[in-house]
Amino acid sequence: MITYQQFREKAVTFFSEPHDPAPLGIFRILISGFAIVQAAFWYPDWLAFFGQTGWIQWEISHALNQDWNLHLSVIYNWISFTGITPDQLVKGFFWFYIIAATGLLAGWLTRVFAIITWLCHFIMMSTSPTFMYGVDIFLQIALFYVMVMPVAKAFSLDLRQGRVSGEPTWGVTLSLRVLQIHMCMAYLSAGYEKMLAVEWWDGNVLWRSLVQPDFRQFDLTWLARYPWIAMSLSWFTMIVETFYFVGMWVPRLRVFWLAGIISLHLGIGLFLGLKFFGLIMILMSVSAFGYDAWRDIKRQKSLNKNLISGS
Amino acid sequence: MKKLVYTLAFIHLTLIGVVIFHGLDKVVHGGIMEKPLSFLSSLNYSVWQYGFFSPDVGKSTEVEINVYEDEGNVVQYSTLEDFEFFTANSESANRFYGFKVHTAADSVFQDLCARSAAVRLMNIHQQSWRINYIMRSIRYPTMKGYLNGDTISVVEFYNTDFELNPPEEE
Repeated sequence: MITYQQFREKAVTFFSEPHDPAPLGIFRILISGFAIVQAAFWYPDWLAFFGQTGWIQWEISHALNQDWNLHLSVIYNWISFTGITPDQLVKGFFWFYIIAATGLLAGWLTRVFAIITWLCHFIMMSTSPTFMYGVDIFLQIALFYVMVMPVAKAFSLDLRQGRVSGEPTWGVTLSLRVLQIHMCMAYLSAGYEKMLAVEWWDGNVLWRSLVQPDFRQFDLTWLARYPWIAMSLSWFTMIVETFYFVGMWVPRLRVFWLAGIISLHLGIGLFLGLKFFGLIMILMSVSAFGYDAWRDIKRQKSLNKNLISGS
Repeated sequence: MKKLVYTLAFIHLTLIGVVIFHGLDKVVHGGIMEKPLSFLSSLNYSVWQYGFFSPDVGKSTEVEINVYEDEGNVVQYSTLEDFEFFTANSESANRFYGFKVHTAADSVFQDLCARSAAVRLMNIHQQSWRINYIMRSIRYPTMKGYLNGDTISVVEFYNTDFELNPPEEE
């Protein structure tokens, strides 16, 4: 039986024992790299989504904003005296975002570029809310964390140039724990909400999402003849998501659970066409638990080596 | 400083935890905390439920747009026929899923979005004089129903026209 004192000590260690900052450096690189790649894919349609006369014109998208949102039309009003056109502003904004995300990727003046990148993404979410979906929400969450967490302490120019120290600190540990717990809660919510729907248990939701026009990538209507396939995949999804908070904290399970989550999101990307959504979810899990999983693999390898040499 | 940071982190995680278990539903949707929480959520989505893909993902929406041109041509676009709304890649096309869900949710918003899309198409098709914008909901049967021959339910729930300089009758 664990005493209160022991529990307290374990909790203090868990949240504040200085941790290697490498996972946070990896998190910064993955998220800023993702933002750049996503923007590059967006670029050919940039004006159609964000332009004054895009699919949803500025007057309408601005009317959807709350008082605190920052729409590109507001920025245009601030700087229109310069003679810039709305299209020039929108294109210029794209390059501003790319430069900020590149600065963040390199870890040069990391905090400054993290704030600018987060702000740019906030403006994008405000300007084109109708076209945003899960991938943008998770990118906004990740950029917020990158902005407030000590992500420059590893693999950054700031570290190389001596502007920050690479020493493990309580701040690194707390940041990593917040990210890990947030991911656990997100998956717990996603998993148990599915469990509340009967159609998830019999596989029909999964089947419908695979065949309906919005997501259909291949003709999988034949799955109706083998309902156990859709049902097994549904159960796999619910279990992997709901018990993520268990699997990721048990060293013996962590690697398998991470592989399960990666497979799940690869499946979403491949069979539902939501490639960027699948990718950012993989990156978030890898950032939160990848380092620990990698250490588990190394530990297991060294154990195996010892066993072999011992025998 | 350390205490403050730990307190903020604790509040942040507690908020996420309470929200995902619907503990703040009444406060988030009305009440005096609605605006502050909405503001906070726009910054970091801490007031957000992650029930994505659950439970009713089986319902789909089609947008069909017919563009009537001066010469009598009618150009038909449909999200069911690889229209992809002129997007350069599938990632941009995916964004129209959100667009369809958002626009289907509210009738005023439907009108505004239809008008906005019509203006864009009139700019692209300079010879057009009329745009017909239709939305249909599509629902697939269950696997068992599908094997028993149940049909896919397609229901038109929105149909509107925008006319500009209708051609004079002969």
